[in-house]
Amino acid sequence: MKLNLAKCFFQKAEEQPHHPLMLGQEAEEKTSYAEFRDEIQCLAKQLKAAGVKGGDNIGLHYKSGRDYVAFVYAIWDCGACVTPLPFELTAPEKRQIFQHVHMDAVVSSANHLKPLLESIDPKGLPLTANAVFASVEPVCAPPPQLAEVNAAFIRFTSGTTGDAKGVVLSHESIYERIHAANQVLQITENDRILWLLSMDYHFAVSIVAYLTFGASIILPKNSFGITLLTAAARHKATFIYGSPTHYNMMIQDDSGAVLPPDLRLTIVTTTALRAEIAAAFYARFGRMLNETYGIIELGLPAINVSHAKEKQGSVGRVLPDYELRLDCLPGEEQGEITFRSKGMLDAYYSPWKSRAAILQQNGGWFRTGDLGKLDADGFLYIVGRSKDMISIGGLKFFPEEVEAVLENHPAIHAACVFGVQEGQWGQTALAHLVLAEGRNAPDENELRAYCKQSLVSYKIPGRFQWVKQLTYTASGKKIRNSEKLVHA
Amino acid sequence: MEIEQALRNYIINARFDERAPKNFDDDYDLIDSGTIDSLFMMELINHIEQQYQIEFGLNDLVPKYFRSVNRLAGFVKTKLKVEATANVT
Repeated sequence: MKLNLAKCFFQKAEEQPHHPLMLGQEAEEKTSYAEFRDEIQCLAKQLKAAGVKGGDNIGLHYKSGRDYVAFVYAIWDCGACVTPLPFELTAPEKRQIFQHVHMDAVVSSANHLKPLLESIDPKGLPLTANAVFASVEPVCAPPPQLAEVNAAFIRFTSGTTGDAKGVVLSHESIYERIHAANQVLQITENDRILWLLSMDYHFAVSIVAYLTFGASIILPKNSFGITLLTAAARHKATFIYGSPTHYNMMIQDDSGAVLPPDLRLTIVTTTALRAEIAAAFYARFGRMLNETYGIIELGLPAINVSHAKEKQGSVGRVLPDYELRLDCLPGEEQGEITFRSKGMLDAYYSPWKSRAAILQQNGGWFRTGDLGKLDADGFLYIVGRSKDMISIGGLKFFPEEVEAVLENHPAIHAACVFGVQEGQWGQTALAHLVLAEGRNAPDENELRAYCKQSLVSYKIPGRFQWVKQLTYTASGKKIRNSEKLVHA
Repeated sequence: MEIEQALRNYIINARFDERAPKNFDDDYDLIDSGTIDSLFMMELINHIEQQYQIEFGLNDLVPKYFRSVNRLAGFVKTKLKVEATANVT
């Protein structure tokens, strides 16, 4: 019988039916394991009645929160796979996902169908007071090899034409990676986790682990520092999982609120932690933040749980189930980070590339594209994110997508977009632009208005600079790290 | 378009797909009603920064500036005034 993560959760609900699973901002906002299981099973019944079956792929277009989790598990309970359709993306960005990933239907917020209407049947079937189920007119066929994978998630990532789009994760891979992470995180039913990130981008190692290992999830109402600190204190959080931005918001709180005494981990993820935020958090709350290294293709290979103060700036030792190799040039101590591990991605979706084919390219090791170095005690330091992904407060995107939009502007000959470490979101996108011949340079307002037609606001560069030419590698790839700040 | 109206339209479009609650006005409590949740707050800040070319400082990310359309508009106007003064001097 195939592994199904929904069944793993049901088993946990059987073991601890009355244990709280979801905790809201207010003390009385609680949902137990049994109540949540019943909700999921009821939704799954509705979905099955609507025609969802094993092997289907369902787009999920809903805001992060308790209902999002319920929909994912209900879809899994039907034997189908989930493709997140991040709520905040623009209509063209959402259409791009439909063009590359075959979808049989969507579960969507009833109030936000408009950006999807071109792709889906407008006569949605109500699932809850706020959600509808709607079938999709297929735009593309699924890759035939997908049927061989017990797929749980397809996480779409946009890139340049010809680049792999979509990471396929099976139930088995997610199961392996949460167990690998838990050798260090040690999550149990005694944990109460303050959750702060977008579930479209963070789910497979985190939320699934909490439900599988019996923990409680605290979902605060918003990200203001006072709200986060109040929710953490009210529910006696033992664990916070957020981006540098969220910790920054807590630092700014001037109410005198403190962190709960039972707090054992303050995990920081999504982007490099700047030293001044780490220092300010320590000065305000007397504790260090725990840095991590997470990659969608691999899970969470490194977490600094043991030496957050002594090894500040390190993402920790590599977890027992991961094997690290640094591909260094002769005489250099830093090199590209490569891993061998359980729980690796099953495939890239489009064009299809299986795990075996991915690994074969590099002698059995997965190339992360990031640069790192190890100290004498085996602690890993990330010294450069060479894959160019930009993360604005935990929302991630690739520069190629923004460059493609900019390069469609008649006045722009070429564009190069990259992240710089500044501002309250951890990173800001900066665009270098080369003017097209015979054109006048549009001003920043015009460029922003133009980008806005195709891109969600966080992808629009914070700054635009006109340059004479871009820099390229010998093989013709753009060099995007000219202003990157190395964090080590 | 006045700032209040522009912000009101943006929030209604982004959060309610043009179907705002009946009592939605410029004093509607955006925080207690849950209109501004963790992710929308980021979108809203990005939008305002892009639209009005102002920057939220770290000390500005507090509930009092986000409580309602009126409060947000007041914040934007203050920032615009400060920047205009800085440009003159």
